[in-house]
This record gives sequence, C-alpha cells and structure tokens, in this order.
Amino acid sequence: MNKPIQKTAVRLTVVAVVVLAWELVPRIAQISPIVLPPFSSAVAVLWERALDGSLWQSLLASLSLLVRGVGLGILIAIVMTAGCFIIPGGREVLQTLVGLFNPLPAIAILPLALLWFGFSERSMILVIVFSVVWAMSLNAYTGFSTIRPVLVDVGRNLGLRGPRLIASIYFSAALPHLLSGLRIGWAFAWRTAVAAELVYGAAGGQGGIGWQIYLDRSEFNTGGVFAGLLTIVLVGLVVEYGILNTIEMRTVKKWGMVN
Amino acid sequence: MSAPSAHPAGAPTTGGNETRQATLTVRNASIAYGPKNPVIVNNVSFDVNQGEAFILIGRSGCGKSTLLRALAGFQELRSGQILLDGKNVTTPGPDRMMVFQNFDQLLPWRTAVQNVEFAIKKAGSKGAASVRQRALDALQMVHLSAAADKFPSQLSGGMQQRVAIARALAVRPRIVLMDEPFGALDAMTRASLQAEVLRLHKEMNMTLVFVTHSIEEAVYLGDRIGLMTPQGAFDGIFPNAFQGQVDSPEGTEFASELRTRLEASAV
Repeated sequence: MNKPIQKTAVRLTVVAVVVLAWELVPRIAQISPIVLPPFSSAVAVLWERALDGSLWQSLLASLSLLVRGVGLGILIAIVMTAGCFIIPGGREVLQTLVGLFNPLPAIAILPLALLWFGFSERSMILVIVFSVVWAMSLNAYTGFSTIRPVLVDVGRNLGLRGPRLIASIYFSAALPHLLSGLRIGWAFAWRTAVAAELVYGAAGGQGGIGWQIYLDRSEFNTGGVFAGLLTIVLVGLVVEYGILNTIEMRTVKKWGMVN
Repeated sequence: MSAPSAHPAGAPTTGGNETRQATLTVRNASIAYGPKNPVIVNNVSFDVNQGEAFILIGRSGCGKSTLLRALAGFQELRSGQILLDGKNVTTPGPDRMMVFQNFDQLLPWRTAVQNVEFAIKKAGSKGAASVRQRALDALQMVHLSAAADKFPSQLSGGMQQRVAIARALAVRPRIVLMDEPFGALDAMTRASLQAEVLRLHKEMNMTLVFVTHSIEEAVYLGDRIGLMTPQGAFDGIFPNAFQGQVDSPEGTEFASELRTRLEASAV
C-alpha cells in the first residue's frame, strides 16, 4: 500500500462527501435557496462570474492588495529582524515589539487606518502589512536564533561579519522558519483582507472578493455568497499547495533541511 | 627505552631554527570565559612552522578546543599573544581555515562544489583558474569529484568531512585548524581520512594544527605533539619520529609512553 496515495484518497473522499451532502441535503430537505442553495447553484454563479469577467476583477482587486501588503510586510519584518540581530540589544527590542503587537488582530487597527488614510488602498495595505509583520518577525527571529552555531562560525571564519554574515548565512539557514512565517503571515493577511472588505466594503473604488460577498448578502443572493466563500477557499488551496508547497519542495525539502 | 624528550612550555622547540619566523606563534596565552572565571588555557606557548603538523592532545575539557578557537580568532585571550606571520590574531579570517568536528558544518543549501565555491568567493581568495575549477580541483584532492553536485544531506559523515577539508584547502590558508574532525566517524572511515590528511599535509606542505584526544591519531599525524594537562597548561611538546607509522613497534611504544604521561597528568 502506498501511503501518499492513501492519504490523497482519504482527502478526496472527504471533499466528495462534503460536496455531495451540500448538493443533496438542500434538495431532499427542500431548504429555501435563500438559506442554503445546493453546491451546483453556487458553482453556477461562480461559472457565470468567471465567464462575464467579474470574478477575475474582484479576485484581481483582492490579490493585488494582498500581494503588495504581504510583500511589504515581509520586507519590513526581515529588515527589522536582521537589524535587531546586528544592533546590540536589538533582540530584546524586537521581542518586546512582537510581544506587544502580535496578539492584536490586524482588523482591529482598520478603524485607525481609516482615520489616518480614509477609505483608500493605503488603509487596506497598512492593515495587511500589520497582519503579516509580527508573525513573520516572530518566525524570522526564531529562525535566526536557532541557527546552528557552527554555520555562523563557518561564515565568520571566512571573514564575514554584520550584514554580509546575515545575508549569506542567516537567511538561508533560517529559510525553513521564514517559509513557515510566510505561510502563517499570508493566511493572516488573506483573512484580514477579506474581513476588511466584508466589514468596510470596497476600499479605493475597486471591490474585491469580500466586497462581492457583502453585495450578494444585501441582495439575498445566497448562491453568490457561497460562490465568494468557494473562491476564498480555492485561493487558499492554490497558495498553500500550489505555491508555498512548491517553494518548499524546491528549497528546504530538496536540501534536507526539513523532512 | 628512551623517554620522550619534553621541552618545557615556552622554550624554543625547533632546535637550530630559531632565526626563521614561525608561521604561528603562541606566547603565554591564557584564556578564560569571563573575567571572574578560572582560566581554561593556562599560559601556553608554542610555535608552528611552515609545513608542520602540530597536534594538541589532552583529555576532554582540558582547553585544547578552546585554544584552537582562539587560534581561529573566535575566542579572546585573557593574556598573551597569538601571532600569524608575526601579526597579531584578534579576529577570525580565511588565512586560518577551520575544519570543525560537526558534520553539519557544510551549508545545507549548497551542493558540495557550491560549498567550496562559496568559501573561495567569500574569502576573496585569488587564483588563476576560475572559482568553479578551483572548487572542483579541491574536491578532487579529497577524492570527491563524483559527489560535487550532491547536497550535504545526501553525503555520509565522512564525505561531509572531506568536503569541509576541501573547502578549507581551496581558499589557500596560511594554516589549517582541525578540531577533532574525525571524532564522530566510524573506525574505517576515520583511518582513511587520517591517511588523506597526512598525504595532503605532505604533498601540499600544509601547515596544520590538529586537536584530538586520540593518541594514535596524534602519533599518526603529528610532526610534534603538544600534550595538555587538565588544567589547560602544556605538559610538554614532543617531537614525533613515527608520523605515519603509529603501528610500528617503536611507534606503538612511543604512543604508550605518551599515554602514560597523559594519564599521569590527569591526577
């Protein structure tokens, strides 16, 4: 028996059962489509929106915010963490900051962002950056502080110090942690982005997935709401399995740094 | 039977050779972790000449590895001096390449040849051939050409140590420092790597400071053997006439004399 194949079979079965139940229960129990439309009608709405292009527009709006926010967040987190490792006493500063801000849900600072920047993209990006930065810093910090001392010695032996040592030894050595930080950070960011759109609507004129769900709800288009939820799940799967797993396979797994 | 002729620590140990500057000079070096702690290395002096293999031997905790780390520039001295070609050693640098005991001293994200290339580039070591060619040449010296494109996780412990040795040699250091590099290897692999190091030492005139707690290893590899007491001082520096012949009757006898001396010093 092949284990990975077994696992995949179990997973596909679970998905099939959920989909089948979703399709059959509303029909058999004759539940109103405003409460729970069957799977096929959610897919029909999704298909329709994919054809008329509105799905791609709202996806693009959400993802473009997400990519910019996550990218900026990662950059800030890494520069901040690396800086704190170079400057004496910096580690305590970083730990304190992470301790203060990590427990704060990013969505909670949205009202503040709106006060500062109004209903603009900048507000959304600020919130997404906030959602990424602390998780990423925490993981980068763990990665940097659990680096094998001998690798640091190897770098120092070659005359590397400060930023050069960080750039050529610490980054790669901490990559397994940086990737798990990215995993956690992106998931926070995606939820935060959708939540922000759901609660406060479109920012900067372009409506994203969350905004679409918000509109569908106000029109009692439950099929549309489900189509939005499906989209959120699908994006999650694509990023998680399509992108992040591929990066892991081609780097830290290939190098034997994680199992 | 002739007792090993010990030179008191600090005295010139290379009779008739004092006019030539040693590659490495250690003068009255003492090391302690922190100002209030007792010294780990206690007032140690020795020279290592160009092309010489100098062995530091002693029991666990005698300070031999600490002393080696000081030679590499990782560890500050409390007092005394370390000179490389007459210049004070204070920081780590690629003129003193270290081979560590840990197998995991290779960068896991680089292949064997990339590990060597990395060292050549970062050390800023200049050469006529391309960096790639020099790295491949270094791997060939340790008979690892076939594994050039393997990642460290795909190599055995012995092969990883070979890559580490190739990496150290490729940057053409003034001196190679080895910290029990074969301590965690099985007996057969250890023997073949010891032979490799002895060959490289002779063929390339490699200057070497080698830390070990194995007397056989010391006698097999060393031109001279510095015996350290558990208090971190030198019990003596012994010229070794049995390099490469530790298995000969005389070599075995010399080894057992050293062992007696080492055990006596432990009391």
